[in-house]
Amino acid sequence: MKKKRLKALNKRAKKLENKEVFGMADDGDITTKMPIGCTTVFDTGWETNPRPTSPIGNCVSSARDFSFCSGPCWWPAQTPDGITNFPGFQNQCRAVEKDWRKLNFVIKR
Amino acid sequence: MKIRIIVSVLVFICAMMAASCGKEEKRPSLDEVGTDAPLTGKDYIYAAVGNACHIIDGDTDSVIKTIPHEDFILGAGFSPDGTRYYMSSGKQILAVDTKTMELVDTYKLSSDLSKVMVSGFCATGDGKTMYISCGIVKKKQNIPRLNVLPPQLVVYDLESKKVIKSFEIPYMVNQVMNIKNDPDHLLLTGYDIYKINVKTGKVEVILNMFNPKAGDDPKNYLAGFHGISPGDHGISVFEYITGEGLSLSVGYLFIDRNDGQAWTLPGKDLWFAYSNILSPDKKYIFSVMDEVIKIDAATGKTISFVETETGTNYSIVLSSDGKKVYVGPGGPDISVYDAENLTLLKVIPLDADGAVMHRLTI
Repeated sequence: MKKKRLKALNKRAKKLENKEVFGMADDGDITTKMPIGCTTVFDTGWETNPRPTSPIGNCVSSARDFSFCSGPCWWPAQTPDGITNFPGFQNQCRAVEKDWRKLNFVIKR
Repeated sequence: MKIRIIVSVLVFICAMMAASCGKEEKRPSLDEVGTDAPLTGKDYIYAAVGNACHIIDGDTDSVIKTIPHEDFILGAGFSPDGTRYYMSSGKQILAVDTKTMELVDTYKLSSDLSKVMVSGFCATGDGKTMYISCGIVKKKQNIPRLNVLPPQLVVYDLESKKVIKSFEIPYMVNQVMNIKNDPDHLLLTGYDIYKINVKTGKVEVILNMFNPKAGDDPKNYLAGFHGISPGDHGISVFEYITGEGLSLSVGYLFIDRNDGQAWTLPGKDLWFAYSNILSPDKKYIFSVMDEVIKIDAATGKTISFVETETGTNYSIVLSSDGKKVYVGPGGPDISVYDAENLTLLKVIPLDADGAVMHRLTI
């Protein structure tokens, strides 16, 4: 059965149909319209460091990379989202290597 | 006659294609560019960390002042005359008076209906204006919609704390830099290197990086950390990565902040570095992430390297005489190395994690 699309009947409802959210419309090459999430700066994960010698891989230690990843939201799933949901994250854990026991961003307390 | 016309048309088309792809890259000798005599004197290192700004004496390499605040700092930089140190948390910019070493002002850029995310900024030489690259999301009252504006370069009056005007700019611009000899233009680092006219808003590509000319590989560069010091030689260096898979290679992007030129130098070894800096004599590039690396700035060859004892660090600065290398923060510390042989001299403890550090010489 074909889905019927809702139609705007008045001016205010028509305003809602406008594609105002820049970069969200499905009308072209999405890669040229980033950012869409909260990572707003051009960076492809330098910390993955794929060179063939030691230390291979992510930052050493990962705790040293934690706070800055949180601040501008590089890894919003793995670290507290410092832009929207946990803007004051640095108040509870100022130095992650020393204060990691204070991390409680999964459940807000 | 016909052949001549055809040849002329072909030459014209080729010229147009070259123009549309950006300007031809020129690679000047480092002896020909930059200020010959960078400022030397008493050094202070400003390290912006979570909820504090530490000021370190460059003679004793110890913290002499800690300025408290309530932000995690994502980017910072001095005014061109060095009288202010501006620190951005993304939503607001804090100003430190470098004479009194006190926090003297806060520029709140976001409001309930307008969320601003600062990605780069620089203040003008007269200290009256700040140019800010940012993303702006506007909420509309009574309508459950967000209006995400295209990226903007905002011209912000520091005295009245008001936006004077704004221009649409390309995506991903994360550094905004003054051009010393051309106050009508700014340099922007985004996918490519741009120059923007601050009177008209006209943007031109001065060097293709991520959007290369036909036949070239894209160059993916990181310009997130930037060790500009007032009175330095005016040459900034960033690392780029090109190729893919096993044929990955790195190179160095040079930007001359005196005249607004940009060029690249292929590297010889594969290093991943968050930050890079050119020595005051313009002979060496020093880089840092998990190692401190010393590179010949003329050839791109590695001279020496040492793994950092503390781990990953984000920023790098050199003392004004070029004899000491400061790397950090990342974790709550800054490591000091001898620039000659990369021997670790000292680890300076800080209060908190951070990412940003700059040198002020007076």
